[in-house]
Amino acid sequence: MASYSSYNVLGSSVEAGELNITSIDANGKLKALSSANVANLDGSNLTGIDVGEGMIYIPIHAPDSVGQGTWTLITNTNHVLNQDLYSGEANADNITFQAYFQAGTYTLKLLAQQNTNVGIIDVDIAGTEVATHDMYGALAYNTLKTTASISVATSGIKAVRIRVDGKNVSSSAFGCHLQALCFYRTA
Amino acid sequence: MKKQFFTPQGNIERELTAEEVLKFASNGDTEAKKEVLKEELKTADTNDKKLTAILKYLGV
Repeated sequence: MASYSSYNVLGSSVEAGELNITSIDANGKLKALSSANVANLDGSNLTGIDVGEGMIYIPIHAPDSVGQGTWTLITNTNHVLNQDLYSGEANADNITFQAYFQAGTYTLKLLAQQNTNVGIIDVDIAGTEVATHDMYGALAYNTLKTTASISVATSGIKAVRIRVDGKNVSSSAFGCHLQALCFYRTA
Repeated sequence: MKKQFFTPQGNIERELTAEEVLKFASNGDTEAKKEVLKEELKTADTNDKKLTAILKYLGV
């Protein structure tokens, strides 16, 4: 009977009897992965992974904290996903979501309602403003705003804050109808 | 109708006041619009008004 205590796991398949490494310890259990047992997984060896896999979609119906204002979900069948997160129409109203960002460069896609009674929406990551969009205009549902080249220097869980920052001089109020928020990694 | 509010003090779910229902309706909330039309239907005193409210409710 062949012994299966040793395998070659450095190639594309696991082969018994190659005896390149011992993968089972004295108790008959698989050894923990370490640099002694597997190939280096850094840098150029990670050829099967690219930056396009780093998309962050933030569900608006689950905010983590509110800094200012009373926010609520508006049911609106004209909207994508039939909902928007609506602020209390005061300047500086803000709401925060937590999300994990890998260090890199991102493009923001922000979907919101354009209207004559809404303000300017700012987006902050970890306290730094990364995007600003004036949502004033004739009523238009599902208005897409894009901001490219957003740099995130370090990996980790970041606070993504949506903040009403003033308004267009023609707008009648500081409303915010946030529909969707997505960051996708470009570099 | 009930709504959940996200506030600095936490999440609160409560019934809306009549004024709030009107405000939500004016902000496009589909459910609030239906509540407003239900009230219009209840208080309609002519068949024409009732029919108008029904058609609005149905979105026709």
